[in-house]
Amino acid sequence: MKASRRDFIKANAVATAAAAAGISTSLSTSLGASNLITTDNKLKWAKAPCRFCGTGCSMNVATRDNRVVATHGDINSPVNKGLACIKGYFLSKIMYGEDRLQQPMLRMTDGSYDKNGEFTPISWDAAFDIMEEKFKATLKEKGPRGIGMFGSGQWTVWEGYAAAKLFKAGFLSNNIDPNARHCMASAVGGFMRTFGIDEPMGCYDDFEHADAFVLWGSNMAEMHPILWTRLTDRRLSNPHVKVCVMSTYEHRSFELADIPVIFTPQSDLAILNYIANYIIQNGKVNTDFVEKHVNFRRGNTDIGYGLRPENPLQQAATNKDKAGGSQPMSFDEFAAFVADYDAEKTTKISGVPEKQLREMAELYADPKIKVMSLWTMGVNQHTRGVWANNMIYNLHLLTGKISTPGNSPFSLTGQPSACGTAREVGTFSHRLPADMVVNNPEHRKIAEEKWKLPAGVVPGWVGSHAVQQNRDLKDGKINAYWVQVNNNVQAAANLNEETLPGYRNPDNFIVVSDAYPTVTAQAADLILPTAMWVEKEGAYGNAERRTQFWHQMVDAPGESKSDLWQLVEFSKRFTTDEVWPAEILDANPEYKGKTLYEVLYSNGQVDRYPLSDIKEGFSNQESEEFGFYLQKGLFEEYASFGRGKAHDLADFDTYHEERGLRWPVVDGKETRWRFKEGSDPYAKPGSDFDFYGKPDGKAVIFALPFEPAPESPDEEYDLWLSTGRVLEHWHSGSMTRRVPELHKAFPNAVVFMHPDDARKRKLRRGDEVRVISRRGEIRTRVETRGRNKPPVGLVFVPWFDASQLINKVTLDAIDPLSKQTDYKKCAIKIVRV
Amino acid sequence: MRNNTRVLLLLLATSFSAGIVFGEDSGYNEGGQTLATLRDAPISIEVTPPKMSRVENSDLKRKRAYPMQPPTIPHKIDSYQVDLKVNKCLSCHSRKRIEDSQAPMVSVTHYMDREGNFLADVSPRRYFCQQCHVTQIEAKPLLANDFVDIDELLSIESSAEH
Amino acid sequence: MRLNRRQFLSGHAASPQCHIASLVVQCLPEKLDKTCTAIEGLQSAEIPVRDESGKFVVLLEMDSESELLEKISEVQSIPGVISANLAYHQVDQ
Repeated sequence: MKASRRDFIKANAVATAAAAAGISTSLSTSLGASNLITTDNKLKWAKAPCRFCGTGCSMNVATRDNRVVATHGDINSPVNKGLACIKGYFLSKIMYGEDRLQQPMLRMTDGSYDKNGEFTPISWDAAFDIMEEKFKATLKEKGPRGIGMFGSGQWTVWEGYAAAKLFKAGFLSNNIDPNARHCMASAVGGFMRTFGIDEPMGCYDDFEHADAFVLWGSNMAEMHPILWTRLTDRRLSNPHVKVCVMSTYEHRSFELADIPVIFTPQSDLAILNYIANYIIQNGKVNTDFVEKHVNFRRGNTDIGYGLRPENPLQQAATNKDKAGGSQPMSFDEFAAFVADYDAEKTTKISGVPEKQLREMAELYADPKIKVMSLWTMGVNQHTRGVWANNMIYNLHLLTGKISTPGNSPFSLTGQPSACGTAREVGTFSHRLPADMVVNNPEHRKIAEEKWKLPAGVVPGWVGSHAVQQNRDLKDGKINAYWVQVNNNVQAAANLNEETLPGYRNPDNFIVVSDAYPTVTAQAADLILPTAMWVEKEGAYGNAERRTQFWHQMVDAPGESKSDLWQLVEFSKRFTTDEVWPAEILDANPEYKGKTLYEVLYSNGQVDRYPLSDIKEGFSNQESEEFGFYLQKGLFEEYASFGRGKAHDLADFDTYHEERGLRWPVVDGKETRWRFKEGSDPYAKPGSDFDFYGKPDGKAVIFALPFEPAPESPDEEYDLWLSTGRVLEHWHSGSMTRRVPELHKAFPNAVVFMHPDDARKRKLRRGDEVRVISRRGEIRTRVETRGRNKPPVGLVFVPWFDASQLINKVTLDAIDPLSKQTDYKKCAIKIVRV
Repeated sequence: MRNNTRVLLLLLATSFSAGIVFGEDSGYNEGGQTLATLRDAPISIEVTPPKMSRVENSDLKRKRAYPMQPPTIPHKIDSYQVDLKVNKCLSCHSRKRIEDSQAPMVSVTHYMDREGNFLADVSPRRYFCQQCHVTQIEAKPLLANDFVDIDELLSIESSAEH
Repeated sequence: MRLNRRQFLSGHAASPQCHIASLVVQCLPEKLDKTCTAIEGLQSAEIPVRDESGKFVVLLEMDSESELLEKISEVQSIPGVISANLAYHQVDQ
């Protein structure tokens, strides 16, 4: 009943009188019943990590009659201790948008496939028929390089693993990449380059130990709200604690800032070198630590921007083909290198006053202050993202402030699946499970052995990364393409010139699995309806290496199937004879004539666990259909890669009981601080610190310079554009915009701009404007108030709104090392409509 | 699923009549149908965004989807200061202030620390109210949501039994 | 009397009241329609529920207590009304 307070009083008045008079009314019964607590009102509760960000809050999920009816923060979870952000509280509603896709749909005209036809419902069999035909035709014509896959942000650990296996060991194609490429690739690059092993050494416990927090471009208040509650708790409970918030514009995190810093885009590189220089100049280097645990290297410079080869900027770059190269150097040489970044020069580049630079530097330099650095997309979505990651580690390594409680360079994760799935199981185009890479023959050999596959089957060529895949589609190099549950038509930069021409290229067949009809689904040729979140059994790994499991709690609607079912079922349609080279089959005749399903999934390992292992009271659609506990088999096979290699995971069943465990899990115990003797079982006795990802156990400090952004404002395109998220919406909004409360909290994208910039253009709040770059434009409305307050010269547009595709405007320049797009910097102009 | 064709035609007509020129001719075929329900235009065409609406300011409590749902804010909070110095929300909603303000008191859970111990005042971890509580703009939901709350579900159950 | 949020914030105390009340009325069953029509003709009175037995509910929404009492008297004086008793009364600010 929808009633205002007054209506409610009136209804009560009527009901009371009617009851007194003994007259029955529909009103009186409904009011009467609502006060009774006599019905059977039991709910079934189970735990699941949140579907949204990389914090990995544990949620309690209530179900009844095969529906989710309530969600709230799990009191027993060490991550969030009962809290959830506004999105988490509304998880209950994300699966119930009225337009859930429930049936495969193919573009057809007169009963057969037509790229320009209308979407027509078809059966799964018919959907896989056409998909099989197109993939086989492409494989025949172009080989494994002609197919590709772009993976999901919702992929569970085993879904990512099954997908990587299908592509790398089944189709023998490394053209598979996760959407974590847009999100965490630079962080991965930073970890591998500095430490030789991926993911943070510290953990969330650092929040309760640090004396200072430095946010490098991160807006945690909106993007990692529950970690922000831990930081806020620490700051407000301990007056000595300092919070430094750095960004290119003012946002909600500044509400807690003791040191609020606004810097010119790209100048973070100069500030990082300034702080390193400050530490050295003031004699605050932890000499003992540096001598024992650190090497110095000079990285190659002028590495380009990952643009198409014909782009003049790309042609001018001297080291574009040797971007990752570096040479050893001494501490003194490093000191001389950063000496260039004094306060005066750094202020000039960054616009940050010298006093603030000193205050910030002192947080790192003062040996008494335990400091936690925090960053996400500001540093990762950066054409020098890997550099910026390396340079933050420089500060912690120079001072030895690392791997101990509160001393923590902490790379926050964007998505729930980025660590556990995308990074750990190896869904990147260059990776294999457990930090191994495809272009290392030893690594391929290990993978082939674990997978019980013939030697030489896994290809050694590095596949196309996400941005390259779109270019390959446009150029007709990839012709059969599968996008599993992510909205890349709304995400990938330069939509008009790259993505859309690629998807609609008549030579290409595009398959999009999704739960909702996104713009990516609209740009597809075949749509596969897909289960989400607790409609399947799953596992995610969060930013602090915590692996968390959940059970299937409800059935997916209509004919929707999980990503996992789709991958495994599709593998039945290919035989080794069709996709493997004849010489491998001749040398290993026992593999001849087998389906990929047989060699990859029902291989004696993955199909080892019976259905009876599934916890009573929970369904498991995929396993029931394939006849074995698929998720458990995949997980255990995958976990065998990391056990004994500092990536140790506990056994499958343990995770269903625990609120997650942080790997490496050795002898049943999780690891909170890696690389530190005593807390990390892999740190050698007597080492004190052991950066065992590197052969000599030493981490690397890199000398890297400030280099400009590929595009900066000029006379015509006179503003910086930064893009990002808002608290209430997750990424492209395909889930959160279907929740009425979240939609009404932030219904449409706007352009946040400084009132002076608006005035200069004779604009007022609410005016319609065109945001125009050299690549495309959107129409939006001016916002001069509210949560984001950009400085003069910069505007911010969130990207959740499918009706304002800001990725038409953004630049597809990438970090040449990580191949991750810079969504935070390009030049635009704003024109009144 | 909703058919958007009519909405799309209407939008196109509006745009043309306003004399608006679309971006460059895309030169490729998107297919005939508009499918993406959160976007009432082909991917290659940008249309006029809806006008900015006001925040609902009725002060009327709204129904919650389940008991643990944080209530949405039924009033404007423009220029409410919540920072290191002051928390404007708590000047009405804290235990000390509700007698004067007659505003609902923040829930008792807000007086607990991470370990579940009760504190003398609101926990610092709950200090930034807008992480969970949001205002609502006068905007129509884009689509219906088929979430069924527990009371509705129970009444469906009981009517199915009778 | 309590202040609402906006009065509290703005420091204003004066507030109009709203009295919501319901009456149970008994009339002769054969005069039900006629009596109801007469009562519905009164300002601020509604009949949300009625029964063939001659019983019905009158909902009143008035600005003050005195107006409410006056209205109840009016209802009682309508021809055909046997009794009219207050069943519910709440003051809403």
